[in-house]
Amino acid sequence: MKITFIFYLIFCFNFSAMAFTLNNSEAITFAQDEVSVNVARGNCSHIGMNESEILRIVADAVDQYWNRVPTSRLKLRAGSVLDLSTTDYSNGSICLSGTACEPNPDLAVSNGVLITCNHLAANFSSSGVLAVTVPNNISGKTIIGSLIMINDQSANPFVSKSRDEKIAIIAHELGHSFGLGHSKVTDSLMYYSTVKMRTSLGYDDFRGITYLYPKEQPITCGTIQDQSLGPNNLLLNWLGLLIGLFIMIFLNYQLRYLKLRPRF
Amino acid sequence: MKISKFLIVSLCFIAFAFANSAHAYDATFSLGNLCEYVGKIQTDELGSKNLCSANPYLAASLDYSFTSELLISPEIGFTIPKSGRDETINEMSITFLLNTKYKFSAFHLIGGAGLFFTRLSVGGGSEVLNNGASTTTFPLPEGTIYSRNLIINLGLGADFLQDYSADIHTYIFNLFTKEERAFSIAINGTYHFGEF
Repeated sequence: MKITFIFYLIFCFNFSAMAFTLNNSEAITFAQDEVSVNVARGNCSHIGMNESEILRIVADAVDQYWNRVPTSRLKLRAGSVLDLSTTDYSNGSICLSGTACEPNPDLAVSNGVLITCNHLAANFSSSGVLAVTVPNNISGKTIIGSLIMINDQSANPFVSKSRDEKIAIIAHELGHSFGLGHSKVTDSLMYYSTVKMRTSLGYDDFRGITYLYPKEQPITCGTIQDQSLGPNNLLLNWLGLLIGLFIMIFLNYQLRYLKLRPRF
Repeated sequence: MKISKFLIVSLCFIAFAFANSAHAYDATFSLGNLCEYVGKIQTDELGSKNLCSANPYLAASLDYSFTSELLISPEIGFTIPKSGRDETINEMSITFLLNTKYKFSAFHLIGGAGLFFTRLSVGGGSEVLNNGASTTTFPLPEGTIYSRNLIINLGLGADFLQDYSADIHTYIFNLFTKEERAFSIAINGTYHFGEF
């Protein structure tokens, strides 16, 4: 199956923008609940930050935005700075052709999300474009890897942004990396342009990530808890137990009421 | 793990004991508003956060009394399906709760747990949106999904007249995960049909 990707060119010059949209027609998603976001080493020359600083921006972006959705199972994690010098991420073309992007297989990301700086003008439709993102390693309807390119041309707009704006920009690109398209409302992070004050996700962002990655907290009454899973899963077990008790009480009472068994 | 198993078995016995000592029940119907994920969502480009918006919520429960003060109250509730700002998206919430109520004077404390379902239904189609220096046609998904959360419910209620009460419930999502923790608040007026 061939999936057509849309080329993301965000944050242009004019400020003006109800639903969440997707970046492809097949609702492709990551299969795993936890996705690492890594940064390629040695490619950033003009954005005024090194890779470690980008990684800290990523950590803030996922904590402040995407990981805060209670109804989504997807958790993004800041990974590490990777040495990928054998691949030309700094000057390679993200798409082989056109507006309907066919991802360049030479830049396929093997796992998770990779952020790199890039100074090839052809990747950015205008000098006002801050970054582009394409899920560029797909298997069926599953995203294996996504690539985010920050505009690192000598006259790039990214360098002049405040830290909070950079966090929002990276968070926006991460939204594209796991399957979301743009929104037409200004209160959404996935709006195509920056707004005066971005502090958290909007309703469309909430619905979008929930639709693609719905939370499925289990009923785990009576199961054996793997202690390595941590306290939250232990809580789920106990909540499951409470629900189980409710069912037992209800059935017990009803059976007695209907005289289907002797009372204790 | 041994302690957990011991507690589970103990609670099972306690549950059966309670079930056999329960002696009366009261059916209730509630109408109110559910304020979802308070303070968690940005609502304008100036950075304002959501507090409460119109989101009608209906619920029904059965109150089983163990003593004159202590009740157990299984409850089912749902919000009226709504489309919001885009007609292609339909959203509703459904709750299944097991509450306990402790009565004192004209008030009752509420504590419980249960499941919170979020239903999102999207009708497909596409939207032409700004994208960089031009526009692009972005697809919308087609289909229905359910997100399922285990929640804790804490609340307070007050009785009015003989058959009416007012309740406020706080649904707590992901209590032990700081970044995912969220609160929804249901404010309900309840009619009591009385003891069966």
